[in-house]
Amino acid sequence: MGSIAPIGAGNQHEIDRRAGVQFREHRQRIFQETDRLFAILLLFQWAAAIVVALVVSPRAWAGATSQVHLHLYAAAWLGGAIVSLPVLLVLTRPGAASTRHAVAVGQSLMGALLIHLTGGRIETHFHIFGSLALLAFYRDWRVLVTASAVVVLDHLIRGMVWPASIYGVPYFQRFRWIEHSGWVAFEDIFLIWSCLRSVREMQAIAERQARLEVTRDGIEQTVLDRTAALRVANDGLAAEVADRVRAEQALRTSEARFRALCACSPIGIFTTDEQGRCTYVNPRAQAIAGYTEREAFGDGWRNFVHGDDLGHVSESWDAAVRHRGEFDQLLRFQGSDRGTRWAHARAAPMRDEQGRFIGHVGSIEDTTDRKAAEDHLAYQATHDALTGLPNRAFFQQGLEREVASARARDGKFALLLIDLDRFKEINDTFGHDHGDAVLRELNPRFRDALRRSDLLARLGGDEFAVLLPEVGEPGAAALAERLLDCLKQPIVVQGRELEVGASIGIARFPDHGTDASTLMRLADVAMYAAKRDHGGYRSYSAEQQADLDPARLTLITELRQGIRDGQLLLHYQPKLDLKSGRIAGVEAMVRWQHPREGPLTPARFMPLAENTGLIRPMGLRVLRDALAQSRRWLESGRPLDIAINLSPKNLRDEELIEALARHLGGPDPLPSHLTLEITEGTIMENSAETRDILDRLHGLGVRIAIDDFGTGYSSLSYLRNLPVDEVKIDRGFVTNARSSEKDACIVRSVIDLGHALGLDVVAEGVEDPETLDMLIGWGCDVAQGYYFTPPLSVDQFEAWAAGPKAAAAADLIRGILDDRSASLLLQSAHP
Amino acid sequence: MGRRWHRVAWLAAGGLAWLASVGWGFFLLEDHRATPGAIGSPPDRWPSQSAIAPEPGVPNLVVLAHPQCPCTRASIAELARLMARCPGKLAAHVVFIQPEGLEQAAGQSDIWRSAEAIPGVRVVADPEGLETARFGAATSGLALLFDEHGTLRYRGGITGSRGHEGANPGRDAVVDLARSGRSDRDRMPVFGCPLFNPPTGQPEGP
Repeated sequence: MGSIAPIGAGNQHEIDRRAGVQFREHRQRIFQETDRLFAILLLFQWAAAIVVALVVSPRAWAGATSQVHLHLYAAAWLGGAIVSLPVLLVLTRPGAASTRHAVAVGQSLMGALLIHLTGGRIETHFHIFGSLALLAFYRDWRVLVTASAVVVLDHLIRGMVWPASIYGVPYFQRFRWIEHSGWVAFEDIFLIWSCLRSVREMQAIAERQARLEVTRDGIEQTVLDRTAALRVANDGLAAEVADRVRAEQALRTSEARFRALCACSPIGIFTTDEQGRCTYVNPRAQAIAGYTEREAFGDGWRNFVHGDDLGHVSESWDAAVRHRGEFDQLLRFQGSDRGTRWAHARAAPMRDEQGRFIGHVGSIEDTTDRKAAEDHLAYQATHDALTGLPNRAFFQQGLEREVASARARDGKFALLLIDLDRFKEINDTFGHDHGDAVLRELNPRFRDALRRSDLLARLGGDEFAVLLPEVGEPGAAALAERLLDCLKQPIVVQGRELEVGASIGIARFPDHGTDASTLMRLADVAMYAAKRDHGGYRSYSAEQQADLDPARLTLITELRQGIRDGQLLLHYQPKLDLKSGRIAGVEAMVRWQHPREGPLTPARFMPLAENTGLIRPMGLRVLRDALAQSRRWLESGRPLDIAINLSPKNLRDEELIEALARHLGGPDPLPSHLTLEITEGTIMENSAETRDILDRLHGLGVRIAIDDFGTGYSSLSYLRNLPVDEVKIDRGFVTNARSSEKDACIVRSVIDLGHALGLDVVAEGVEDPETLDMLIGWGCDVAQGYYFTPPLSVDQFEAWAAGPKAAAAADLIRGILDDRSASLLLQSAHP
Repeated sequence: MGRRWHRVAWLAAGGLAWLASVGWGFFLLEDHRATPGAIGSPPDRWPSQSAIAPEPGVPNLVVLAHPQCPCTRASIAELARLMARCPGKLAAHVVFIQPEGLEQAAGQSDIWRSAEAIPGVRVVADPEGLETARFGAATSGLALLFDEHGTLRYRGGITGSRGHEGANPGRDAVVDLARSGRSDRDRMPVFGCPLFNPPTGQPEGP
């Protein structure tokens, strides 16, 4: 914004300049106006001169004759000549100094002419003074001087040349000339003084005018500057207004877009003011929460929050408002006609351009379905899909919570591990659908036997666990009894009555352990102890301490895992027919391909399997794999008899027997023989039951072989009573037969005994050709041993059987037989 | 610069030419005004044949005039001033010739009326120019002063130049003679139109 500049040196210079310009312009205007005035006056005087000449002296006479008077010519021609130059200059150079001086000269000369034409009348002389006064209109003293000079010179010249015409005397009168000049000068003094004064006044006026103009210009410039500044400000304001209008338009558009988006948003949206009061909820939020927009306004939305959530939600929301922070809560709304809805509400603080908190904007997401899905997933993650019971993970968490709780309150509880007996048989015999049905049925039965506070879980397969809070030894035993009792009633599946038993191990807190893993491990030990005892329940006791070797327990767990994962592999050792040299069959021997320790021999894991009951699933596995391999050899055109070793537990495993019966009695029975090798000890345990089992198996076409014959304390009568088809001489006798006469005698006696009873005799442990030669000589039927080959994997065995070693063994046997035949022939020829 | 001086030069030349032409005009005009007419041959004594009777006891001034002569208008004006300066001491007679052929009567001219209006002046018409001839005048405006004894004491004009009023020696001489009977001059040039037709028919002046 400008301001009026004070008049300083710069402005004074401008004033002087402008005053000069204005003064000159004013004078020029005066000059030009006066020029025009005198041009008119001169023309008028010219006409007047002619008129005067016409009136005063139109003609000159001589007697009665006359002619045009010279005055008339002079008035016309001389007057025109006098007027011509000034008028011409006025027309062509108005305002010029030469014009003014020409006018002054012309005016003076015109005065002289008029005086002359009027006969020198004294009145006409006033023309001179009048002309000077009029010339003073120029306000230029030099013009007056010029005019006066013309008068003075005129009088001087004419006074000297024609003195009578001036002074009336025929000689020059100097004093009268001076007098005339003095009067002219007298008038000039006043006129010149008047001119100078007038000029000064004009200058003063011009200066005042210039000063006013400068001031006015300053004001105008200030006004212009301020106007320009105002215009700029106005333009800026207009632009700002336009921007604001556009911004408001954009805001309205954005608002409309926001409302449209909010209206169709699948997410609930709400806004609140700085005091946390609801100011807006979109339709989706209304649908989720069940309130209307009017009902939600202010604090009305709190009325629709589920009562269980209202406390923490209000507290969290008030804190977010108080701290102007974010809000993030899961909550339930109960206003919807679809019932209680889960929602995830989030809100973030809003701030204006100055950063002032103006409220919150937030979203409400209906998470009911997701919550249900999450709950379902959580349920699935923690529950068994088949029985609906909690799974191992859930049970483990519950156990740990209970341990912590019991520790905190110095309480107690009992842990029961349940493993079903004969469940495998159901699965293998009737299919998994039956097994699943049995498991499903167990859930309500177990539930009925337990309290509401007890935790029942299915750990996997046929294993269950029960957590009994606040239960000591008597209570745990009683509950175990009840659980076992509920299994006494057969489970009917698809019309079949199925019976399952259970082995239950019990561990108690804090008597047996104070942490979850220890309790689980001890309950497991107790459970296997019960299983060894053919079912029932066992509480952990000090006598089971021996089983607590960590390496052993680990190996047990790994063996169970290995059986399930197929880590048990079958190796095959051929049995050679000593009458022909051909392969009479193979004996399947199990090996454990341990993932960490590599291949393990049966000596490493069979005792564990026997003691822990794992021998049962192991036997089933071996049986299933051996039969499958036998079927593959059959399909490849090389049927082979196959022999499998069975432990006493295997022999009494109904599941195994059922599975064997299912295979052999099915529509596609094995064409070759299956030989089950059992030890003398097995036969001697519960011989009556054993006899029944062997009869059933023998009835199915299974050959029965007595393994390790000669090492037990059994009676030979079982050879007569039991369905035995083959005896296998213990390898200890066979190996030592060559060096020990007694062992050789035993071997030969067993061979003879077997033959006498109609049994095939197999010698195992053949490790050299001499022994082989003796066995052939003694009439043994079949032999096997490392002399031919150690047990081989399937691929190795097949390679061996097709290779030169098998042929060499056959040739050797046939060679021995030939030698024996030749020797007999020789003996008969030379007795 | 050159153009300006060129223009100034032209302007100066034009101004000078203008001054010269104007000066020449004035020169001609002044020359005409200063050129006197013929005085003629006035008698030394009041002509006895004159029908005009002199005023006895005072000098008698006879002015011979052409009724249409514009130059004589100044003479009549000076006569009026002269008569005003010599009240009762001078008798004046203005004789207006009536040239033959002049259609307008002398009494109808403004000069006649001016002369007739001057106190102490007798205006006399001279229809055939007899009186004019008797006084021997040839140029209008000729003034002849006869003293009370009828003796011609002055002859000439009473204006300084042709048709020009103002103080002049002729008028002063008449006043002096009328007042005191003495004067330094007894004759002066006369400025006016010829009173008689020129012999060739072409007026002599102005």
